[in-house]
Amino acid sequence: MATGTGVKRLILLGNEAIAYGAVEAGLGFASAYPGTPSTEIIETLFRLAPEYGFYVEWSANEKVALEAAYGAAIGGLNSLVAMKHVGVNVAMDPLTSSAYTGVEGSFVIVSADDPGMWSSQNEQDNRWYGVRSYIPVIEAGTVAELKEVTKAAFEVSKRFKHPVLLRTTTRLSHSRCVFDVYEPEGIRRWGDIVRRPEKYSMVPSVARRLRSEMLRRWRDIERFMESFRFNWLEGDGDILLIGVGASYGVLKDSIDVLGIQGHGIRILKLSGFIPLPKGLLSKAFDGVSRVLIVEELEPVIETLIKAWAFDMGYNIPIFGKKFIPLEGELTIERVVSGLARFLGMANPLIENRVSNDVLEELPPRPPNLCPGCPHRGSFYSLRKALAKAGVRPIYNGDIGCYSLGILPPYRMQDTLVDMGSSIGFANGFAHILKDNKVPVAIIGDSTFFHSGLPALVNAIYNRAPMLVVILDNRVTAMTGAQPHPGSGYFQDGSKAPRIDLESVVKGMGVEFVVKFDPFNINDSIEKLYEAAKYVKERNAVAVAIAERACTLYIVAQARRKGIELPLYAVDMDRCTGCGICYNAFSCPAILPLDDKRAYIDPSLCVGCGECVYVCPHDAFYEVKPWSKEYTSLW
Amino acid sequence: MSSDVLNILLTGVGGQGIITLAKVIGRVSLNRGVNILMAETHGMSQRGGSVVVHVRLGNASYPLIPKGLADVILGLELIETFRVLDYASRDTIIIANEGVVRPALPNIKMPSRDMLIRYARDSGLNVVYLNARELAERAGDPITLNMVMLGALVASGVLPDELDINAFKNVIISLPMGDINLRAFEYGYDAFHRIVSGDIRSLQDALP
Repeated sequence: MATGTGVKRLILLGNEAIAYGAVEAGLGFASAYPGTPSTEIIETLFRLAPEYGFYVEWSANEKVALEAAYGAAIGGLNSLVAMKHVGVNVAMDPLTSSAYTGVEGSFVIVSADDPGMWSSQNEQDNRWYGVRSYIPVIEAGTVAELKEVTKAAFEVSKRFKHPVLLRTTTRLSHSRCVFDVYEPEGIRRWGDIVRRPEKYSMVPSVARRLRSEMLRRWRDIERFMESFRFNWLEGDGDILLIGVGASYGVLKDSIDVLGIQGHGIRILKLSGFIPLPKGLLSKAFDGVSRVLIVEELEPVIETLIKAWAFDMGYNIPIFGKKFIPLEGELTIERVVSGLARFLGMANPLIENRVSNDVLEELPPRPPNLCPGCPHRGSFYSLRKALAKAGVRPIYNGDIGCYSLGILPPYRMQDTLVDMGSSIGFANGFAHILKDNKVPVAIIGDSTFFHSGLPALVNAIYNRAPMLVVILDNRVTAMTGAQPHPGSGYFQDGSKAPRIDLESVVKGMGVEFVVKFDPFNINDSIEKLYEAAKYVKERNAVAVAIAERACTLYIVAQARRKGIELPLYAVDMDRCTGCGICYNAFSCPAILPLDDKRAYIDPSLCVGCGECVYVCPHDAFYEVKPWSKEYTSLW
Repeated sequence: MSSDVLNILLTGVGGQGIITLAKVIGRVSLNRGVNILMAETHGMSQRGGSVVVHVRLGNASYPLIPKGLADVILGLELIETFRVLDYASRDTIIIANEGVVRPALPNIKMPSRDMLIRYARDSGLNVVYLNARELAERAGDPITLNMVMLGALVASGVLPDELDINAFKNVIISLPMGDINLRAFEYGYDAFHRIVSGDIRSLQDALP
């Protein structure tokens, strides 16, 4: 690796490397809404901002984040916006037009895709978005390349004053390796606008002209990408293997497993593949008899290359998805299997394996609501309250930790599709349900600010009766407790304007609004019962707001500050082994003993005290009370 | 696979400190100039789900270890160790904490420890079992279970020569609660040697 002045050698997470790359490229502005696997990019930029002086924010949603960064790029800055793949859907409107207008500085849109759906509702392949939007797509071939490829994305954007989509994947973003980090050459923090409405105000007459300009620019970009330095040819032979983006790394290791390097194989590595580097492709195709395109997910490049090869008159077999899986994340063993079939070889990985039929005996271990998670109390109380009110609920869930309410014993997520869909779907159910069936929308505070607001406005306006339960735990908990417009502080802990949920909802015109503390189960049931009764009797919207901070986050703070946690225990004389606490309430800190009586694991208990309400036999008691210091954290 | 890549699979339950353990290996590799590529695979590990970290030392391009090609599996929880047997071959060294963590799901059937250990023995797997929790508690805090297991990994002798015991000690002592973590690491290191030398009876031999 190269060394230079100011160089530091660090072991970085892929997302950290993207952040460092952006800083080295002279980043002036960055924005994002958190979403796995993209979150650490902006978290890292928040850490680096005080040193380098660029602006960084958590935005209310991806559309706003993209517009903010796009605006800053029109103002002349180097800007970056990061989001998970489905977040790009939310931001598609401004993203599409950004290719028409271009920018004055540079504008890199990071799309963190999630092949394998490790933490997402789909595995859409956002490379298509580059194809349909005339936005170049750049993706590192290996984790080690991430930082330099990020810089290259800024260079392309700056050169053509055109947005660039930097695609990463869970695997690239969430892997670690060693990077050499350099000082940036200079950062532009302040911008301005040269008034040119004929360029940045998209009325139809402007848009028509801009479309022609964009297509001309696209041809220039195409020519430039011919010599993009992260695309290259390796080895020689009459079989061409094309590794697209991160699939290049899998392909390399798969070739190693098969031991065929140097045996008549030519490899084309593509990191800048939209637009297709046609000149390099012609060189790669020269004299080969067969081609295999190795790419994860959709046949994006396969489709483009086949169309190109047809136009060029190539008459050789070109394969892709016939040998490389369409579904899920690529792994070395899956690519080895496809390559072996393509080449007519035996797969050396098959005989090596040991039998794994023991798998059937192993219980699943899905992620679960944490010990002391306020959502558990909310789900438990909500179900009791609705039963008491004689309401038959349709549970519309949403994106957040509370999605885990889908698991037994709760199973309280009848629908769960996208950010804000809880209230959105309830808008549909509200007008079609009869017989005391009521749509319930369960949505987190951050998700509510992200896209619950317009859905609730719609419900009020269109008189859609529903019970909206906003689970306010003060942070975007799922992605690691990032602050949001309702938190009252910024990422660095400094004080921020706090948008009050209750006032917002009342201001919209909701007449029944109630707040409850999910740790107090009895009171929560009472409040939620009143809310459910209101919806049933008045046929209107009621909003119940659960107010309790994210336990994981509070406990982490307590541990950092050396504050002792409260603790509960089981009175063995009172416990009858009924199992309500560990089966119906299902707190992970409460475990069954061999005789079915309950036991609290003191290393897991955080002292929420909900078990006291849940137990019909009064078997739980406080061992260590809530200290003043612990109470003040909440 | 190029023979110069060493594949280590770390597995366990969210909250057991696997990511910290992986970071220590990363830090030591950085200090000693050994190429390392690591992948964290977890959906929402902080919430008690399974966590698997792939560590590849040497010249690897892709961070996920191919199934059947793990050189070492370091399992911090017994069920999770058995869940990743796909990655093992009969040549794999498996170092397993014998402790079991019950998943927080209602009405689940737990496998018996004897059944699992017998299964491994009958499949011809090369497993060394440790009571890591007890060693961690003896070191001063059950949370140092990860360092006990790391000690056992270093003791197994599979790591490249550059990653010697002192390289690890230097990094571990700089962690928060460095002294307790270091003690846990040393307990794990010694326990591995004593089990392999027959000084402590291994669970496998204790089977009826």
